[in-house]
Amino acid sequence: MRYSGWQLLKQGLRGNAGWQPAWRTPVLQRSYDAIVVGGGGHGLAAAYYLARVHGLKRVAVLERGWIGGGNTGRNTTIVRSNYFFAESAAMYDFALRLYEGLSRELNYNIMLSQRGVLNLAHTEHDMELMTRSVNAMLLNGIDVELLDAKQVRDEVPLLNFSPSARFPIHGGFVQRRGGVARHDAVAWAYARGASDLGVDIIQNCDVTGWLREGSRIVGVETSLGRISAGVCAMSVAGHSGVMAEMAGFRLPITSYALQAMVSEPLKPILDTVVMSTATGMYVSQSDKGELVFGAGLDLYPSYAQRGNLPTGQAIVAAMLELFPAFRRLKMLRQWAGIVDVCWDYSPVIGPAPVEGLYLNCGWGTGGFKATPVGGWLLAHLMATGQHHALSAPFDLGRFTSGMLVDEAAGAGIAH
Amino acid sequence: MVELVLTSLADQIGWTDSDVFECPAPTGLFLVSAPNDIAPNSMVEVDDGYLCWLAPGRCLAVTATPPAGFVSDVTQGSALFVVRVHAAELLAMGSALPASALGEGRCAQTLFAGVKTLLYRRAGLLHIHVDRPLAPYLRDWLRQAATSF
Amino acid sequence: MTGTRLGSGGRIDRGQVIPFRWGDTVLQGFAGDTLASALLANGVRVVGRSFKYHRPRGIFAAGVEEPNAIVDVRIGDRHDANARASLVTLQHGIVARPIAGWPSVTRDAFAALDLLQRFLPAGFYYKTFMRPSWSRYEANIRRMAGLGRASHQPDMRQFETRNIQIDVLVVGAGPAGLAAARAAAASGRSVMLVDENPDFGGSLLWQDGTIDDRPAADWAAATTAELAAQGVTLLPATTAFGYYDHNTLGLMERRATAAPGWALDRLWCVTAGKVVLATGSLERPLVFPHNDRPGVMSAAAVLRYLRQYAVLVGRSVVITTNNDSAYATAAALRLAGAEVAVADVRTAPGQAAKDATALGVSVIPGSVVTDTGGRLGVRWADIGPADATSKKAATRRVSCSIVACSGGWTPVVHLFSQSGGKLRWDAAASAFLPGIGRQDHQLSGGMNGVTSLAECLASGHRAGIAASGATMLAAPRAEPAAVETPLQPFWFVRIPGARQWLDLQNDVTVKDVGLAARENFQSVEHLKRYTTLGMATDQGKTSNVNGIAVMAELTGRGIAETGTTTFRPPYAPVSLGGLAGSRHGLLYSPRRELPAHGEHLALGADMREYGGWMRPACYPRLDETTAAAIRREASAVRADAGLFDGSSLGKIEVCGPDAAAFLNLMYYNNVENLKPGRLRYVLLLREAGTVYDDGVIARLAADRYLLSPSSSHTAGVLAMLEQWRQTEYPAMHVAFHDVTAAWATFVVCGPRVRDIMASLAAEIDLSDAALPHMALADGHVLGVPARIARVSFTGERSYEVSVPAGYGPALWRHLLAQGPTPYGIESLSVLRAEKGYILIGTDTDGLTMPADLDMSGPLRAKKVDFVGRRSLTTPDGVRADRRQFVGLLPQDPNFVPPVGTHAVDASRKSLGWITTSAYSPTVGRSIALAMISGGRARIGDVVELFDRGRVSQAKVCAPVFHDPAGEKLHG
Repeated sequence: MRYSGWQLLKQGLRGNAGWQPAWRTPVLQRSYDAIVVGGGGHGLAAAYYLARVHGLKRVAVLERGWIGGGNTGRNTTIVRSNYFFAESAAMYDFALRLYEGLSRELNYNIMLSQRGVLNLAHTEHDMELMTRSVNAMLLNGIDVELLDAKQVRDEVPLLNFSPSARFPIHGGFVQRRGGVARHDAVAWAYARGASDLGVDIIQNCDVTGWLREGSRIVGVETSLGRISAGVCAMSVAGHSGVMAEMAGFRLPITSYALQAMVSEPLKPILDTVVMSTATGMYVSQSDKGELVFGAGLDLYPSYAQRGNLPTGQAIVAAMLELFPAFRRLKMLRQWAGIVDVCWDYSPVIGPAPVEGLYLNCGWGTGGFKATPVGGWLLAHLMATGQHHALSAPFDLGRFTSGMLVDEAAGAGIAH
Repeated sequence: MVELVLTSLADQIGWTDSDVFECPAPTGLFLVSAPNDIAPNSMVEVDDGYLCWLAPGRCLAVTATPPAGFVSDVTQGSALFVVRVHAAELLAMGSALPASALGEGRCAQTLFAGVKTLLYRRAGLLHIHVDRPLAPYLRDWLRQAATSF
Repeated sequence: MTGTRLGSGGRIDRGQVIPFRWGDTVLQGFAGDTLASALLANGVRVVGRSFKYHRPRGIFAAGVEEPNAIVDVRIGDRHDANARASLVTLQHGIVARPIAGWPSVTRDAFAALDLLQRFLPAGFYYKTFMRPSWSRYEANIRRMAGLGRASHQPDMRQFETRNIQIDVLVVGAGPAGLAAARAAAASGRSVMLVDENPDFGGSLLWQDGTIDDRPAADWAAATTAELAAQGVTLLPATTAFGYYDHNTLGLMERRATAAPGWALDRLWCVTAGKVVLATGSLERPLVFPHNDRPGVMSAAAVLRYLRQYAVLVGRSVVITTNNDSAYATAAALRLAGAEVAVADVRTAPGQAAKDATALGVSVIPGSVVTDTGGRLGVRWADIGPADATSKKAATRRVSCSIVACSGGWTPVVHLFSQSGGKLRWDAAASAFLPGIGRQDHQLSGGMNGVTSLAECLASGHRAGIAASGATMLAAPRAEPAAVETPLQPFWFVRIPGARQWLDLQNDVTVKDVGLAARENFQSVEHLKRYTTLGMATDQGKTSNVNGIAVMAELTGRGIAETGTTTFRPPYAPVSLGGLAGSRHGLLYSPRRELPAHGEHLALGADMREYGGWMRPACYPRLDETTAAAIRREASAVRADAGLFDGSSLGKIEVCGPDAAAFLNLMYYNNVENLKPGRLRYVLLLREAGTVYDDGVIARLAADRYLLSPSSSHTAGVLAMLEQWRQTEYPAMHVAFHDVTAAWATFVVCGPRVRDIMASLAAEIDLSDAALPHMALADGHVLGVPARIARVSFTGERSYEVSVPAGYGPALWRHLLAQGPTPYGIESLSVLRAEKGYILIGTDTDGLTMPADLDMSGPLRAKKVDFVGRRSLTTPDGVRADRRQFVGLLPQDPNFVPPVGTHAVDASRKSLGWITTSAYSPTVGRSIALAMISGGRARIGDVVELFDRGRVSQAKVCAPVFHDPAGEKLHG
């Protein structure tokens, strides 16, 4: 069923009784060509591309809870591709370009709002690092622009330009094509698209183990029974370590709680996404009017999906320091996801150390913006058995060869 | 021969009589790493002062003369603030440390006002040691907090 | 008609009249009113508009669960753009206005949207607005969304935070909470009692009852006074908003007054030995067609407005209910002179109905309100059979201005759930009740499913004892509850057609839940996110359970199977400023000051923050630009002498029999063969083989070293040393003392430096034989202990003089008096760039390895393992095209390319970038340092430079531009 203004009109006149399920609830089969474990944005996108790009007919996505219930439903919805290294820039920009066409392709309004992502510079040194980054991005074909203090002030006058500001603003750089998108809609759009192409989306299906033939993984053990597969993949942000352990290998990942929060809804007051490395904060205003923001991690490894009060306070302080007018506002909701952080702040995409299994993990705090490309690359791996040019640099082997894609260093973060 | 004059902490931070804290100048402050049997988070009286436990095998000696062991003279490096009034409230505003942690003969290293400090009570008054470069910041924090009373 | 104030009764003070503004009108209320009760008393019906359909909205409830009365409130210079009127204490100077509706809340142009409602079901925006793209529609949608208009002015108030540890924290001061606090206080433990209302007592303030032979409200007041006398910390008007790990809770207090400049919101971070949750329960609406009109209210709220505020919300009231509690409202309204009819879903409503009938209330069993009418507020209600399934069912129309509804009670289990507790659906109670808890808490009263006053008191008493220890105190007594007729679950009217609201603020109806079910958004979380049920500022307090029940029914599942969403902090919206507390402005994070800070200010230094320290960038004279100052200072150092404050450089003393062996394990260079009295330049690597820090190590004795990490890395280096010693080499005897703050260090350098050093009357042999370059010695200068090191970061003959920090200002003044030119960090940066000395974090990034810096020598000479060694030989470590540290001479000697300019190859691929760039007064032209792929092999080549589209050329050279042989070190 095609979505459109006409459809709303037509169905509205029929009492809205004619709408179809956004995705089917299929009967679980006992075997598939491909199984994607993890029904978040990346997993659903992978299944969609397996069906659409690679023509696989029997694909299943197994989700422990409800689709999009993990980090996909918990992030702060920022999309951007302003990364330092060519490998990252290429990958994230591929995602951004897919995002730009996604509503059309999936016939679902993901509410992509390319309102610009502005990173602030607070010292001369920051400006120098930003110049380096901006030039790297321009040379890699990413649209960014270096701004001086006055240009930043014109862009976002509410920022803290007072003489008593702890972190004076020297300038910044902006990616105009960056912005936000509605996170739940991205998951639901891919789910609907995949389901329409015959992908079986199985919710409330907990994977409890891997099935093997010799050393090769040939399926999964689940709460709904055994399912065999030609090829398997895991895309389970927050639980990658757990799933890897089930398969007998370890990942160079540490999982932390990352909090995010929203304010009460307000009339439009912030039209740009703003990020600052000085306080580590990022903030935007949703289309519903809520300020959506976050900052640093709760600094102890945890699967709890809940942060604690001291970090919550620090996050609020981090945001308010850049926007002192917002001190009067109230926090409406706070939650946390589990972020899988790799040492070099880049993801792991590629074959697992075990045959028959592919990995898409380690996205840390930045997985949402890469949802389309994570899915695209995982699908490519599962269907062809080979790396795509974009995923090769992110192979697990880089931790042995030393060829890290160190985006933290790229951002000037000493770590 | 000209001799250099000493700038006191009080002069450095512009202490005034209306401040909610004092800035006494201990005769000696020494970081000491040596085996000792000081119980964790406690203070021990010695002849010319007292010792504060910092870590296993480490203490801060607030004494006129340095004790034995690996000793570093930090007399000029550690700023001491002694809170005159509203100590309980200021402690509650600046730190999550329970008041019970600073009972008789107890000390604690903890975050106070967001910076690393050593806290203890002596003669009923709250003592705060902080790195001297952070003294102006702590002065500002205490002055600000005091306006809430 | 609409609301009026009764002449007597209520807990308001009619002697204190409080005028206030509502929009353009001035109204009156009394001390003790909330803004909501005052508005109702003045007959105000419409206070807002719903989010999607812009239908008029009136006050529904009396507390934190109020979904509609979100208004803009100003008092003096305080402003709340989204205030909940039922929580705003009426006070002098309040200026309140509706935030919805244009041109006014009663005449809203966007009300026309309601005519299009069938085309705007839940999630409609996902199905359209795609062509040409969302951006075409977004601006208008955003303008229609959002509630209040936030102020753009920075908020300059201070916010206070209090941390407190308490033996027993009791959350909620209704009957259960008061009983619990009373029992706990008797044990002698420290107790804190908190309640979101300004007065303690909870429902005791507006419900009938007798406790210990006294009116319940009197008992509440007396108990509160006793608690105060016993030293219990009482926090009224305080919301416990979050229950975190380790029995830590966040409370936000809304004080009545505060010191000037301080906000009324105050955050309490409470760590409790035990927590008693006595948070009560909230009435949930009964759902029926057109149940969203102004005048539809919670039955319990109607009673509360009557009893607590003496407000009769209407003179003709229809009550629609499925349980007994609404009859208390019926009776009270009747006694106040209203006409009351009760539509009870139950066919045999029992004793409560009989008692009401005796008072003149008309009770219709087996019935429910099947429709309401009235454009800006209820004017009539249809009452029909509760089991009606078609519009043709027989109904009777009753004129009324109020429809008070009661669908049952929802225990307030939010904090329990936040603490990690699991909820279970209890069919008998028709409620989600606490199941297995995770933390050390006791549950009591309404939140634990207890319904009668007597049982609340008893359960609170037991909880208080369980939390604190036995007491001889007897539990407070109340009459046992009258036998109640059980509640009959009734989730919505089965007549198709008219909309029935679940979420009043976000306009989510039963039909929307049906749509969500039909489209397969069946899990509770999908339901919530797709329909936005429960996501408004009331956080679903009156809509969540009804929504879940409707979804359960429409999908053929039980409520237990459908489940509930996880509760997250905050329980109610809390002040952002309050959460941030004092962490703002210059107190956001500390800056360190140098011992001679005042001296630099006196010289007019341009002070900037570097790595957490305030340091002089340069010392511009009057009318001198920064660039000119830097050139002057750099030239003076080379020609004459300079003076620099290096006090922020790290100083870590390392001592112990294993000091040498341990440091050798840590550092890239060999430090074991460093002789006492000598210095060595060293690198500290990460395990990845990349350079973390550089610095100078001094050997003081066989078992003693002094490390000089860079100022921004001192804490990190210390942490690294401690971590390796404690976790990997615990058997090694070595300790580290950070003495950075204990010393003031000044650098004097330049051709004339020996004269200046002579003025120090140092009792230290400063001859080149005794103190060659890269050596140090202890002694006294000008009567105070000192350490002098010969080490240079400028390339000139250079001495670092360190004295105890308190002597710093005096030493600075003395040295300055000898005539050297004070120079700052920016000037130093030019001088060291001329010599090609690296700056960590500027010329290096997190990827640079020692070989990139052409510092492979120490590796070849070092035989033992050290942190990072293994990584130096990975495939990435030995790549031929690694970026290497080189110099660049721009073709135009007057052009200073910005730091961050890239070098590019013929196909515009980046080869690397400029890390340092300056005009060198010493060589009279621009110079730069860069990291370029395969740089050393390119020396002599010309490369193209790219900076944001601007292209230029530069020649690659060795990274040194002045005195390559280092002769001036000994000059």
